[in-house]
Amino acid sequence: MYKMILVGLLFCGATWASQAETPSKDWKALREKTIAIGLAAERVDKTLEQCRRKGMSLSDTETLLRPVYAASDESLPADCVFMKIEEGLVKQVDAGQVAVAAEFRLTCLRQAVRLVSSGRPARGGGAQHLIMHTCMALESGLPAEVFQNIFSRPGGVRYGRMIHVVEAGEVLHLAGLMPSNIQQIMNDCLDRDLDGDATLRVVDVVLTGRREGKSFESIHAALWIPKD
Amino acid sequence: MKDDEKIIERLKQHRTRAPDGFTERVMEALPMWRKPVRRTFWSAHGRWIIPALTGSLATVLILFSFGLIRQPTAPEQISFRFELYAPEAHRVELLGTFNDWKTGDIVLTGPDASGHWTAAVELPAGRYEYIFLVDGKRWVADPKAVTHRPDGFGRENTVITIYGDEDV
Repeated sequence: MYKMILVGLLFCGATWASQAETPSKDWKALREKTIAIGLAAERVDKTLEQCRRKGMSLSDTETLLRPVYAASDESLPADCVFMKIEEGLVKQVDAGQVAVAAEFRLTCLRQAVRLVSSGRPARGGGAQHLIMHTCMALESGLPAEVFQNIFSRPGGVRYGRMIHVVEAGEVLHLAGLMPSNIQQIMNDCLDRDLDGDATLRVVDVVLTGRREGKSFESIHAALWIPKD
Repeated sequence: MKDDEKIIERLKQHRTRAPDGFTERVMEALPMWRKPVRRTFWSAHGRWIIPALTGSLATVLILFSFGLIRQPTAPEQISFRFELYAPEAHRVELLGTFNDWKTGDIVLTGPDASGHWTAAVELPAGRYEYIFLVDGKRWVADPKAVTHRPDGFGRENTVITIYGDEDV
């Protein structure tokens, strides 16, 4: 009896094995498997063709695409990971480097999901845009602590506003601002319920001030008009 | 009087067995004034269909009139002008997240008299990364743009954010 149960469990395991773990028999099967996760056939064909031209074997290509399947299995935006692979291949980067970049993007996506879901209550639509923007900012090197503090702010914040400040945070980080200063600007924008254009203007003012050699304190002091 | 009662009592007690097939013959002789009808969905519920459809239609029209139902519209496209100064170049292409990093998709026109290559691209609001490919071999981040980010491959992409009306 226990043998039958064991065989049954093994069968179920094989049936439910994730896409990332199931090897493809040939290029056609790999193509079908990649299209099945929701990517356009044209993009998949282009990518597989580039892999073949690079002299990559079927198994090497499948290994390269593994983060894409893993993202799909975890209901993360697989397109975002696939796009990193497309970028690497078109820039004729070594396949190993492309794999590292794709894996890193998957890691950032997972971290973004954790950050967004830990700090904010579930929202209809799954907060996909916020996750994507948070992922990009994390990939650019903005520390996770900044997001933890921003997402766990007391009081309600409009979803679109949060996306704008995440974008702003990434831009300020890429311009070389300290994480604590970035967080201050992000909080300022949220406190004032600024829309996308206004947030962009704030970023422009900060970046212009930095180009002029001003300190963050002096830029920040001149940024907001006192209420009284 | 007593005789009448006796007769009535005897008639009440009178029971004669009907001949074989009597019931069937009587039933056959009766006119078919009411045919048995099989109850189907339409016979059972059909009378409610038209009022229900009318009510649904009226509800939809009311919601439309109050603007509660909106037809899905294509995202607003914003024209964005890309420009690169490359007077010696023979071909400049634009690749980015908006065209899935596809070569040959957006080719800039130029160079003009001032040495600039340009392309106007319609994009929906969003955050994009891009890079120029000059003469099929040189990758160039937009020198006029403010924000660049490492691409993870040792180069830099340019980052732009385009806001639409819905974002404000």
